[in-house]
Amino acid sequence: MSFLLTRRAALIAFLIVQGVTTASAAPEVVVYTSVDDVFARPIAEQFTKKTGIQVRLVPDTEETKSTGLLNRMIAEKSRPQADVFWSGDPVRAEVLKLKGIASIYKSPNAAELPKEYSDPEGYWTGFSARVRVILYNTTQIAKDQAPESIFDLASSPGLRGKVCIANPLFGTTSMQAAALFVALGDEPARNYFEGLSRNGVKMVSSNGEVRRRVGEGDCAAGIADSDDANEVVKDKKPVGIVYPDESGIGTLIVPNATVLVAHGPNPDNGKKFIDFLLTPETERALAESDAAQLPLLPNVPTPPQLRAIGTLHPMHVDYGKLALKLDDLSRGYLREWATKNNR
Amino acid sequence: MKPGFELRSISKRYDDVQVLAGVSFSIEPSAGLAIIGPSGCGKSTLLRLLAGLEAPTSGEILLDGQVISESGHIVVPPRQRSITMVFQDLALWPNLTVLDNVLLGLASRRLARHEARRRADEALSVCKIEQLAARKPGNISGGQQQRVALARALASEPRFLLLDEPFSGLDLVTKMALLQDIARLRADRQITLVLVSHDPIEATRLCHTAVLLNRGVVEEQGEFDELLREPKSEILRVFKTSLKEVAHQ
Amino acid sequence: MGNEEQQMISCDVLEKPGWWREISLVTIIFLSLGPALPLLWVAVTEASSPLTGGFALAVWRSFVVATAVTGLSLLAGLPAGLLSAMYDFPGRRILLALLAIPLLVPSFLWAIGLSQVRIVLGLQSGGPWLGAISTVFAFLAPALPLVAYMTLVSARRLSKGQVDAVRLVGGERLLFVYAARAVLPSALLAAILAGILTLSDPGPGQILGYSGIAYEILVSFSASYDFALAAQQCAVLTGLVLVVAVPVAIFIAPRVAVEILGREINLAPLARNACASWITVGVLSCIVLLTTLLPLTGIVRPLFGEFPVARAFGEISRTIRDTLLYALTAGVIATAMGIWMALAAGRERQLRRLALVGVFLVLSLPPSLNALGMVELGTIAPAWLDPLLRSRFTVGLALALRFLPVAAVLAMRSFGSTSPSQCLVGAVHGVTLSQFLHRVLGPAMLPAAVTACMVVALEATAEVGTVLLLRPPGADSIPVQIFTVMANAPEALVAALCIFYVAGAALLLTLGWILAARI
Repeated sequence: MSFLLTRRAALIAFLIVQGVTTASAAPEVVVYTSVDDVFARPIAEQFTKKTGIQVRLVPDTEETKSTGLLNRMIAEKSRPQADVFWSGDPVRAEVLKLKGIASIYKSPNAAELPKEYSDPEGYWTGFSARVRVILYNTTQIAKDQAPESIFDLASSPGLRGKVCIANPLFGTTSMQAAALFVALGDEPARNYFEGLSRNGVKMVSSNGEVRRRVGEGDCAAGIADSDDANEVVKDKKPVGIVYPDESGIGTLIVPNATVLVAHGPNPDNGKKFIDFLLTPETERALAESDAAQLPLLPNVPTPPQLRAIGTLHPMHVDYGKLALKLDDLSRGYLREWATKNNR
Repeated sequence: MKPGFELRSISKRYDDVQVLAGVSFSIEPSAGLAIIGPSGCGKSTLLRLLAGLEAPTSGEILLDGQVISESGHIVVPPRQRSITMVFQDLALWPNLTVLDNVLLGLASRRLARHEARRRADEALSVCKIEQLAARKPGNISGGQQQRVALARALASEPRFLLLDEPFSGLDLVTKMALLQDIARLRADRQITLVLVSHDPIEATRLCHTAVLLNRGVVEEQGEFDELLREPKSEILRVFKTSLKEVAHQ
Repeated sequence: MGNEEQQMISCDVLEKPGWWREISLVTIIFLSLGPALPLLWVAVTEASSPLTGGFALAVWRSFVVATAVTGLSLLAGLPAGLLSAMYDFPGRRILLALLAIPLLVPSFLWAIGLSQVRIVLGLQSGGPWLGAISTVFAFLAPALPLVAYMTLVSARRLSKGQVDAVRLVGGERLLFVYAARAVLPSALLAAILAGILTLSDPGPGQILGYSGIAYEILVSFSASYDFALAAQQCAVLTGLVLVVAVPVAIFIAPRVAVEILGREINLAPLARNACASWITVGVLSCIVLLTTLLPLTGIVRPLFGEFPVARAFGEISRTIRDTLLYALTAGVIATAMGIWMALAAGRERQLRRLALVGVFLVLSLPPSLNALGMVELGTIAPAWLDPLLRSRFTVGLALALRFLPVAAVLAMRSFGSTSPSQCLVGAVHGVTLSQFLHRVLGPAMLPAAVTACMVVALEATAEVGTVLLLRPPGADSIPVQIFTVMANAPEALVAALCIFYVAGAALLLTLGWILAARI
């Protein structure tokens, strides 16, 4: 009995060693992505089906959206494990460029994409976008009373204690915060955030949480992304969508961005993956999925429940400046604000 | 003839506790020696020193004139002393069968498999437990367990057999049968026996000589006949009284 | 005497003092903490950013939660464990099994369930107080069973003689008081440990709106990418933990060592007392209801609308291999190290105390400490060390070091229950160390080894933070996948994944129970 157990134990140990150390022999590409796993994975599977290249997808958690993986990539700079970074926003891609982790790749499939949503030097390419929108609960706010600007959320007495936003240290909320500081200047931007505090804003963990709270009626209004808006419409929640500041500073467009990582283990496969991401096929898939991403390529239809990019008044942003500003804000003002409002 | 064992001024100390102090005596080959004394007087410690499981703090232990243990150092390890021991809790290996207990006890002999098996079978037969070979210690009675421990001890054909209160917890009938068998085996095989016991019957049935320990010191030693003729210590007086009562009955 | 004879190691080395014992214990404890050293070095040498004001608030919140969890788990867990140890009652196996489930499941799953319950009750927001209460509640789910089980194990070591004597003098009431005093050190140790463990778990606070120190560290590392700050905060957290853990370990652990590591004695049988039995059933049922069933109800709530079986199975089939691999690797390594530790500590009181103090400290430290340290090591080490520092094995190794204390305690208890004379008689008969380990001690400790392997494997599976930080690309475990998708995936999918995970943990627990009984 004991001898058999010993042999079995040895077999188990052997399997463990084999399992943990054996590398896959099939061609592969390693993709770090801050796009939600439920949206990114079908795209990756489609790529594998088409090319036979296995995609090892590394998603981030919602709460640390974009930034957890970013830090991992910065930590791995000297010996990266990733070939491609597929970011849900261009600011992190810009950070990689600044840190010397991105390499130039101008995909032939990027020719028809609008240039204003990509890095002019070719370090990252923008595609399929989201939009920062205001969600409001229609049982609490009538359509004609709906806030038209994000500044209404900070100043409207009727919304006191009824507004929620996601943690501005992470994800698209952080990008929007940085964009405000760059567009308005430090003082006015701070005033806005202080106004949100005074108006009793509830800071929650994620855009998904904002969506849930507004849908349930716990919050009357909140700022989230257009894919969250799509979810809440699909769930038939009593929620309306506002594309804010159309007559003001504009609505923030948040394109996906794809980066070829410098010195990645599978650069050729990385390029193929990027090429695939920039195809109309991918944009159509992202548009038709629950992600409801707005295509940037012409001739790819926009989800019917959302507005096409061309019909919006976009906020003008310099992504390079945003990246630098965000770094500064994450360690300073935004961090203090988040701590103060974390309740 | 050189004495089998000779202890010269053996002392043993554990931290601040002096367990044995200046113990000296010898054990003749093929003799039976009982070590008696009150609880905590150092009897089991003495047995462990003889077995080579511990080294004395000071003093020497000789076997056939050769130093086998000295101050803080075990010169000859237990497996090379031709000693076996039966512990108070018998120390049977619970997951091995009776036969495997005996076979593993022959580990140091490096015998061929068939020879080891032959010896094990013989030991089981001598101890009258051959029918229990395939059973495990947990599935046999207390008396049978005693015999297994004895068989394991005898299988390696030792010159010296140390018994540390091996009969505690046994009923009288079982105990008497075991005593009889051990006495016979000792005589047949000329084994030198050292027994630690509280029981006068066990002590006098198996041994002719005794060492009385009290608080780690030898109070009396000698042949039982002489010791019991004019006992100087309380323990020996009680021994004598008990034996008289048993004889009377 | 031949050379072969000289080289043979006798089995009594396991019962004799020797320098190898101290060296082994120190080596094992050092290995357990070693990966954290680069992190602590960074914390000490790089003062790039001062600790923020928000950190003080986070410390206060963590202190509130830890204290509440410690107090409440002791208050409810001690009587529950004591009653379970003393009385037989209907449904004993089922109730004790249900009680154990929260120990095997990541805390954030329970937080997800509670957040759903809050929605149903209309309590999504209620300020920091609601967040604090909810977070404490979520942490009580694993804390109560921990204290109850520790109390149960400790109480079962009261001998039949002790119990009968007290019962004769003062009846059940006096017995309860007497037993409570006897088990108080063990229960207190478990309660304090449960409180300490809350300090390094960011999940429930994050989900339920009362974030503490662990969340701040997460933010420092993930949002600010301030590794030095994260390291400093980790070091502060470690310091705070040690301030509590060291005195507890030194003063209480030795007492616990006597209770839980001692040899088997004549144990008191479970008493049959109708009134006490039903009280026990009531107490345990309440605990199970609040800590297990209530969160489970919240978890399954979205499933009433739809049950995405196919999708959930797809996720599970993709992640099951790595989940099992991490669990098995952690279980095997931790068990091997735990047995090594048990043999090194032996039966010497001081060494067992040292071992218990060491394992208590290892368990108390934040898991992110080792994990972050390994991340740092992996990036600066040469490529040929990747199989050790950047592979699935790394994850298993980190998890093994994290849960080594569990395996060590089980192994020490098992070794302590064997008789030293079994080894000594082997020495007399010339049994070598390898023969003794293979033929006698190994089989004797096998049930404990299997149990340790299973418990560590289950606990390791529930540890999300370490896996999140160390997993190679594409090698997610099931809990990590749940943690990754929980905010944006459809609620039903998250619920289905949670339910499958809990069911899997319960199944493995049952299998382990059966296997342990058969060995």
